[in-house]
Amino acid sequence: MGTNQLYKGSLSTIILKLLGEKGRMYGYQITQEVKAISSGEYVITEGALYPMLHKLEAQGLLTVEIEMTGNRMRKYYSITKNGKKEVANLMTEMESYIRNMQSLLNPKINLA
Amino acid sequence: MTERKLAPEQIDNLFELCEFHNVHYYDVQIELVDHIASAIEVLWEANPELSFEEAVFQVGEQFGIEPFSHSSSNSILPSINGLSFSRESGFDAIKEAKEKELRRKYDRLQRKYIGEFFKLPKIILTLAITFALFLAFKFSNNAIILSYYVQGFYILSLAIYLIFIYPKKFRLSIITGKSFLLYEHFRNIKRGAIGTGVSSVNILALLRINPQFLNNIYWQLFVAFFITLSGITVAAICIDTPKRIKEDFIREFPQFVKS
Repeated sequence: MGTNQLYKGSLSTIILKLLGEKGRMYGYQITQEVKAISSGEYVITEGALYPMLHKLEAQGLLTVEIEMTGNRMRKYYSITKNGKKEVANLMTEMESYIRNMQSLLNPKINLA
Repeated sequence: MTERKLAPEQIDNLFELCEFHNVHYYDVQIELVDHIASAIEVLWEANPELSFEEAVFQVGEQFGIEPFSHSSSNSILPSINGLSFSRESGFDAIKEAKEKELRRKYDRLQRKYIGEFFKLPKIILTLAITFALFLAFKFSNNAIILSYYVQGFYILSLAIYLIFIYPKKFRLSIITGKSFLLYEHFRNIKRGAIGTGVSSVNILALLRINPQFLNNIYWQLFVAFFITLSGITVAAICIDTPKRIKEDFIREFPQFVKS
């Protein structure tokens, strides 16, 4: 099993956090940025990325702008005010999850 | 060295590819086309000699577009001769998710609009209509006949609104012959409003089965509230939702809206 499975549940947090830090981004750019940050370890598939972007947009956490780039149109996503609040909540949840996992797994790792 | 970019006809080919894979809506296509085009241009940075067809093939594999024959040098679409291919692709999941989320988004807005009638100051309006209907039922000589009149008036008003006012108020003409998922959603609203309006007539069937309903104070109150709630729901469907969708469409695709 790849580590991708572990990242799956965190996709919305990753996207919101990334857009919160980098400003507006388009779909392909998000996949490349995540790949670069994780040194190629985490690859977001298109089939997972776009449904999630559409979901976050429908929830009002992301907003969309469409612009002409060269000879094609490009859809940019930006985080909204509600999205920023949500990412703060998600980060708190994530930190507590990591802390709990560490306390759960560390003793076993130490024993080994 | 100049970077190799996609030519306009190659962009058109990518739109054809989306069409072929059953993605007919332009608002979904532009995102997929830009994604494939960006990925192809990145491939060309490493290998500028790679043919367009080969690059599409490689990128297409990531989307799970298969089988994907690229035997013809003039077309990026799969050749049919001797091949049994499926139009199902990784695009389907993206398209379906977009449709689902769009529906959810406007359903949520609709619920929000309806919810506003249960907050001050609109709650006063809701209670006033319910109470007026209730009083009319209570003091009428024949509450059943009155309920027919009320429902008839409601359905007639809805029909007049949808036929004469709605088309003028919410006209949204698009320039090209392209299909937009958002526009399709806008066009379907009328059907939703008619469905909700007509379904409220079900209450009449209930009253016909047992006309004693309207001699009971609680049933009178229930029927009055039911008709009011149905009216609020129809108002959300045919006033608020088209207004929101129209605003969203104009914001996202101003270049396709006829002034």
